[in-house]
Amino acid sequence: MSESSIAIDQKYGVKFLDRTSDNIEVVQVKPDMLVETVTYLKMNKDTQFDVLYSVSGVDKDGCFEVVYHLFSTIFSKNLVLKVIITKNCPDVPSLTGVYSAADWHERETYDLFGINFLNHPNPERLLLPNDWKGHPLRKDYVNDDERLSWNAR
Amino acid sequence: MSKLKENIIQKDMLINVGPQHPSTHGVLRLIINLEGEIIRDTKPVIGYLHRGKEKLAESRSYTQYLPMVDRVDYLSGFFYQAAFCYAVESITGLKVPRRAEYIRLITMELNRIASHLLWLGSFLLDLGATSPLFYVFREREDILKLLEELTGQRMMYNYYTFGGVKKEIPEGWIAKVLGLCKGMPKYFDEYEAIITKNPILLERTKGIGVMTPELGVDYAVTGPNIRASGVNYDLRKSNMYSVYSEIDFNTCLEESGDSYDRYVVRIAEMRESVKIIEKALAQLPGGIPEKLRVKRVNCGCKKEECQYCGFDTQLTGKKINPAVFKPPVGESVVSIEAPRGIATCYVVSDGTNKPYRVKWRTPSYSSVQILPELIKNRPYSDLMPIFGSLDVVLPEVDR
Repeated sequence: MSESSIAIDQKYGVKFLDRTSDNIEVVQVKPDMLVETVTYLKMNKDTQFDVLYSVSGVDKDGCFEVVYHLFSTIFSKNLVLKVIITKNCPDVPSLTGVYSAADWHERETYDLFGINFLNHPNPERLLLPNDWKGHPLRKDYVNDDERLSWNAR
Repeated sequence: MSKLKENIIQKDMLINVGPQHPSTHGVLRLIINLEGEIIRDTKPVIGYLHRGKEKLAESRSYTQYLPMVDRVDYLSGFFYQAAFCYAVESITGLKVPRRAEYIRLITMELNRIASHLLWLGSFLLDLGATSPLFYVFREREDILKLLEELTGQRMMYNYYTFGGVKKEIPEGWIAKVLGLCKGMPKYFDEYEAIITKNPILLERTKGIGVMTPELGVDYAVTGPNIRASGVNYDLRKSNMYSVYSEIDFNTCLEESGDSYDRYVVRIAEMRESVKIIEKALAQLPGGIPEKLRVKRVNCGCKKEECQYCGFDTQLTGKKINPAVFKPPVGESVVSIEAPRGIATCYVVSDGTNKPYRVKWRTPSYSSVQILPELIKNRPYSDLMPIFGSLDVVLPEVDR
């Protein structure tokens, strides 16, 4: 495994994790340093990751991973950021101040995973109805809403 | 009575567009705040077509999930299958023969033309022009007939498989595609003669819905929409997936980023796609299938590097057994330049026969997200020229 080719300042405390099988770097970021790190990655002239094209969650054993996919239109380079958070306290700072695109992606992740994005301007469900119970993409989700069952009607 | 009239004019009015408005392609609801005729604020409500594609993946094996992938976007099924196949191949380390890569490229470009043609017809229908719809369906029908002959389906193709494609090209298919490619530029000239300099279209789309490059990049808008604003962001050029590196083509860029430029970029892209198909057919390893079969029988050496019976002219590399197909632990992100922008498939595998997590990033999602910004402070009559030009397909937004 080779080291990261992207020079990120030591003070952000990021950790180079791995490469995906198609050779995209995966970097772990601490939740409290996320906004600073992403602002640095966007503004620094050597990185310039100006597109946030996807935010998603992964329900791993014992923790949630929030995965950010960044792209630089200048260098045509991809980067994957991962924030690992506990299941008891699934809170991540929102990136809506840095990228407008984060708005809906974060709402979708909240909707399907129940991850709270702090300081999000509009933290509502996006794809599912507002009165939906639970967060379906969690591995322990059971759909026992009786309103949805045909037999109960 | 006069008091009521005053109130209507002075007060903001909340109107509801959709969910079943005929010009919202699919089921989209817009809650629009109007002041007189000017749109002040818009709130899109999506999710009416949410089918839970990501959840469904977790309870199905890879091969069972493959046919469902087409349904993410019914107008460009090949691209989503390609994204999923490339992601799984990347995790597994499956190699794709070059003949299969070329067949994938040709079918994807044919699909791109069909998708853009449907957009062209429906966009002009939104603006009140009925006849272009009949023109574009004439050509789209020809393409769909060819794809039906190849795959057996008109829209949900299910043609790609892990490590290649499923079926050999039928006899005479290549000649038919070449014939179609020869006629296509003439048809495009025909549309442009009707549409491009039409004063009504110019009046309704020039300078309307201007998306600045900064705004578009901030909202992660991709594809023809961002290229109309002058951002050179084409994955076929910059990332070179598949065999695009072996084919010479141009990226179509425009400057101003209004609705009219988005139309111009898409027409130019269709012309480029025709050229790409012609070049790819000329370079297809192995060539015409009936000749290839004869040459294979005559050669019969079965060596890896042979140009008739070697690896590069196969349809699939290593045949997988769907019952025991288990990619190793790992993850992969694959981005594909779909007709509407960048489609990304993020697959996490935990070593079992079912994907642990599949995430779809679809291009129209960003296009709907930017819509309130584009129609802000515009008259209500500009809603359709702007929304139509973004080429939104709602099933793809909701997944």
